[in-house]
Amino acid sequence: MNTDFQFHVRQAEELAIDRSFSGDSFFRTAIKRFFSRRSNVFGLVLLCLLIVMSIIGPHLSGFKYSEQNLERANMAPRVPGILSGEEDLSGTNGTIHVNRYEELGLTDTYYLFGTDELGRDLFSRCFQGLRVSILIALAAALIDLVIGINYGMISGYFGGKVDLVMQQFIDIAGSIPSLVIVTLLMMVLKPGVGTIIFALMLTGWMEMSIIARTEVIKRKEEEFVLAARTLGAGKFFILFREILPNITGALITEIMVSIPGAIFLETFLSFIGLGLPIGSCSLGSLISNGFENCLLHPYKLFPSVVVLILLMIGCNLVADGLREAFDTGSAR
Amino acid sequence: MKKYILKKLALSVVTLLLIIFILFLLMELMPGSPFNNPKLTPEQKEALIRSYGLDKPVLQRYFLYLGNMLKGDFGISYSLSINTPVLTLIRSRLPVSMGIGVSAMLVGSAAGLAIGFLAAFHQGKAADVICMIVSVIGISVPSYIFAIALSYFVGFRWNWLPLLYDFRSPVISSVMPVLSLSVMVMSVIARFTRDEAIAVMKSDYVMFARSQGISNRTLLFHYVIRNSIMQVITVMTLLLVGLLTGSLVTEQIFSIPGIGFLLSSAITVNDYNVVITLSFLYAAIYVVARLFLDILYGIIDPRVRLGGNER
Repeated sequence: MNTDFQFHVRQAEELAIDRSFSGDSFFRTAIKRFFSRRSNVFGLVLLCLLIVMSIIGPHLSGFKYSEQNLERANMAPRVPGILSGEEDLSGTNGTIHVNRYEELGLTDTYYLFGTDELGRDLFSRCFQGLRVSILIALAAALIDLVIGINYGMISGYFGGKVDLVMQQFIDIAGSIPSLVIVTLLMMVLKPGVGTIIFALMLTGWMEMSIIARTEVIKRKEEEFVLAARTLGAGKFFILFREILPNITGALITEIMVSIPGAIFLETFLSFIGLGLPIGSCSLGSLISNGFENCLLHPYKLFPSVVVLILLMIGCNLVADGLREAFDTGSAR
Repeated sequence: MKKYILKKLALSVVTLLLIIFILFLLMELMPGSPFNNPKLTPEQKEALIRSYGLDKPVLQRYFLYLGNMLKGDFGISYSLSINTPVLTLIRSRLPVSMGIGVSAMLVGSAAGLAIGFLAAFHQGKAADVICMIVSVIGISVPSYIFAIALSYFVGFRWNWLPLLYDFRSPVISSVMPVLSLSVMVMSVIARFTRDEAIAVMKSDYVMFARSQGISNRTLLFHYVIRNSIMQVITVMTLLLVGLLTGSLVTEQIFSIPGIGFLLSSAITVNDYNVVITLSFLYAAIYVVARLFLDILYGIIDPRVRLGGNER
């Protein structure tokens, strides 16, 4: 017999590992794919900047966000070298041109975004409001994570009667528009961030649970689950240690997708006067307040709207990028 | 097929009954009473509450309300427009909201489909990039901000269109509300259409059709649109809910006498019957839309009505 054709065990030092064409792990591929698109990087940078600003922003200008100064009410924005703090006020007697900074003799004071009708610095208020929005975004993500994923995965994995009952519940609860539930809740409970988060807890997790359920159903008949079951793994072990790591991509994407909705909910509620109590400061209440004053002092509306839009664009871009990177297809 | 439709229909009815009950319970927990006038003495208040039947137990009132509802009687307004039947209040306002909502849906869908297919056919080129930037902005900016921006610039600054809704010239004064509501519809549909169309175009049967030399136009209408329209319809039904939400604020900004404006004013004065009826109406629109969609799915895709697992 020719020895050339015989198999033999190679010695360790002979082992050659292909490093230049080696396969990347699932997450490394996803991260690479995410950063390969400029719009995704732009969204991520935007989000990071906004988060940093929400932390340091309220302290930058030197005026506290709740500090009232009635003498300095309705100051137009003044930025060194760009805006002089002038504004044109149009009334019934024609237009008048004012510069409140000169009237008050403030040579060295700069309200970058101007002040509101109580003399509070809009720069500090804007980023203080951003804090509320980011807090609500975090809460929405947590609700998805704790309620949505568990509900969907259990429903999908156990199937049969469990699934039927759990899905019937979602069918019914989901067909009440969340707007109706949230509005009524805001009337019943005390308005505030806590109530908004509670409302999200009732309505915000259903979409996530549907995604989690579909993903589990797709995976639960695959070989690795069968293998685990053959080896005697328990149901919850299979569900959370075997299936969950394989569906994280879709779940992370869905968390990011649900965040803009939560941010929108707060601004929307505050706008129709159901959100946060008067005197508190959120992007929604700033926009609502700015809208009431926008015919005379349009600058009051501008900063909070821009910050909100940037926040939403950042979230949406990152969500899109994740969806593509994890290749989950369109989520809805 | 008949069995499937009946099953879905029964489910919808149960859902609606449950919704009414939940709304009823929530209203029970509501603080304040509709008779907030400080001039009323306690005795007068009690008399009022008794005359409206508000002193009976919850369940009894629920069934009373349900019975009346089946007869078409939704109760009367307590404080917004005293003693007017809720139905009368809604009847005059519903057409206004429906008109604006439907036009926004039509304008938005038409624009969205056009943009979506345009982007899909020029995938990766400049047209695609521009279309997608527009849709990201459209999805990110809430509709009420478009409404504010339009009313400030077009209505107030440049004076091109009336700032507020005017029932004497409903078409001209609805332009801005319709535009601001349709942006969201347009963006969602554009993006969805693009993804779907690209997926269809990558499929084997389109490749096969191409290899046979079928023209681009035939390809578009007979292959791509036909195979991606179902998903687009699904999204459109879901967008309906977004439109209802958006209309609440938009109607406030343009002071449109529609149901959204009615709901937000009823909430602020605790007008129970109006809030319940309108919330029910919102829920009913949604439930009916879903029922319609389920039946449509059942007709088109037999897997849905026979298998139970997929959704």
